[in-house]
Amino acid sequence: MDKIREAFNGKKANIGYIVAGYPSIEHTKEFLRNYDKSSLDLLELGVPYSDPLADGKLIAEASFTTAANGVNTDSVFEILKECKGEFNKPIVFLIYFNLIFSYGMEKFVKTCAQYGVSGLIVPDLPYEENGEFFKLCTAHKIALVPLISVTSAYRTDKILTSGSGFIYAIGAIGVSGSKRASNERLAMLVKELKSKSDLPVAVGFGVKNSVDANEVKGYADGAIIGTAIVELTAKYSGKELMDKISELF
Amino acid sequence: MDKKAYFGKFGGQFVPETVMFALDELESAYESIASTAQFQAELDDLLKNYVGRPSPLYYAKRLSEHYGHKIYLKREDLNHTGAHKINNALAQALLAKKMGKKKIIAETGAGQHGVASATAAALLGLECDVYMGAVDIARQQLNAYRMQLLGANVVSIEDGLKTLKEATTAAIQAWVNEIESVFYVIGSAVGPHPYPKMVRDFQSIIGRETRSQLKDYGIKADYIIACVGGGSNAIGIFNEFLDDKDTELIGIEAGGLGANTPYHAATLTNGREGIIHGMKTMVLQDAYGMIEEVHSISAGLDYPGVGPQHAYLHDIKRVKYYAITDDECVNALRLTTRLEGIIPAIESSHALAYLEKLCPSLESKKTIVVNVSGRGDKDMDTIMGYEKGKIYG
Repeated sequence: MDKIREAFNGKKANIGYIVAGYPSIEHTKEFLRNYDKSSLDLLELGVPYSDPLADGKLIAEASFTTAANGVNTDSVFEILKECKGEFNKPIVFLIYFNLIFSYGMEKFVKTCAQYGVSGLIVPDLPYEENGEFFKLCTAHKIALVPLISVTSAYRTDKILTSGSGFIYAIGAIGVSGSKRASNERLAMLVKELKSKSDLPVAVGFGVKNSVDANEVKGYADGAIIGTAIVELTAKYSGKELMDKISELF
Repeated sequence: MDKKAYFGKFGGQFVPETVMFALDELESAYESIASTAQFQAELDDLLKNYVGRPSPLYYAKRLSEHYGHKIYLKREDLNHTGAHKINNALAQALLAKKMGKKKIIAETGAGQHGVASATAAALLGLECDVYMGAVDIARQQLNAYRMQLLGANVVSIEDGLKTLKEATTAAIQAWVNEIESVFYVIGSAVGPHPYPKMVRDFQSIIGRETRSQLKDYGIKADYIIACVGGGSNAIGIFNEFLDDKDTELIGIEAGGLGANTPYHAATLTNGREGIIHGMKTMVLQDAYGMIEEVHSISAGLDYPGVGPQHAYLHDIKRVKYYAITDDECVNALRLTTRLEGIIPAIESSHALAYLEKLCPSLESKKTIVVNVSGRGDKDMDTIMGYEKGKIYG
């Protein structure tokens, strides 16, 4: 069973998001070294970008500042290289497409495979643009996680033809950190997705705390918390950080 | 991706999934509403009686004597609100209204698109938020105030360099947040499909009028020159002439302190293929794809990307693109003002500055059209305080 599937196996997955290199590269390495002992089942590692247009203020600032401090795609690979063998749970990258395009799509996917990255979430690469990249990901056994929104409607069937790993159901009509769409609307979306695909469905965007996480776990296979965790990473580290994250789920 | 979203390899739709239905909705509305005779008649009426079109194609006698060639100025500066931006803002706002939207949002650099959007919103009874970098608000205080007076909410963006790139990112983020109810009026021929084509079409009136006016004069243009930031005024005048092989088209980018220094916004001169603000185009970026900081005396050209059709026209060498420095631009602004009594916008002055390079190289007398995209009233503070390099702090 692949690592992503394992994260959802027999349980509702806790999925967390951090910005790689924020607040420092050492902090991120320490996070990865504690990852297996945490309550998280899957980690989204955000690759810092100068122009993160799908993100709300808090994550956008963390990403922008980290990028401005010189953390780039190779720095993030370097973090994974140094922490290799120190954690076993799955990592997926959240990365904007220009970073992949600039790195070279094939070289990027190969390097991901080399460093044990299980999947990719590319928020600005919609179905219409991902054909070539999806083929590369599939060839190198890297999941390309499809993002589906309550606004996707008639697009859903098409999107599901070029996605793998799990389905990222976008819980908010807005950027990360926005207010969640109504539970009714989201539950309907998740129900539709589960009827159309065998992939597990996790809800992110607008999930901020344990109340939100438990609500979405009522109908989805996992809950994704981003903004609240990034906020915690700025204040805490080590075991204390992992305890605080546990409280969010 | 459907080929209609691309110009060669440039264009596309690189946006969050939440936005995709809105782009589909816009594309359908553009095709079904904007092409109707009723919409076109309403827009034509507004362009004629509200904007003041057609804008003159003015024979600049003293500039012509100065350079020894026949220089014509397409006077977009005479439009209501002072620039070509009103053509597109009014058209998009009218489309928004027909689509049943109550609110528009816009991004702005020099403020001209913000003013045009705020004006269109006031005229059509729409709410309007304008996203503008804090540095640009300081550079263009008069325009920021005009927008507020028109009833728009000016949102000051404090991120990054606090200029057009950050304002555009913030506007897209805000658009995602209100995607089901607001219409995003993009100010240049940039962004995800269908914006670059739609903005091009709405601005093509500049080129159509120019062709008709040249015909009335019984002449043809050997050269057409326009400034390029995102590139809407340039594509607006170029598009009509793309098939005229005898007319050379020249786009002028902002060279800042020099395209060979780190302080410029010369995207086609120094950029490479990448993705920014929902489109694949030429981008000023570092080796990893981080978008680079850009610099120009002109808030309107201070942008690290360019419209995808320009990237394509550059690629196939149909249009030649050059960079003009801040100094050259300011000299051209002063010269045009003294010789013609016309104070051009700093943006447009980049195009005028190229006359200094082009004219001496021409062996026989030529007819040259320069698109004066806007008037310089908004730039008085910048010109008064201009010292080379000062704006870079």
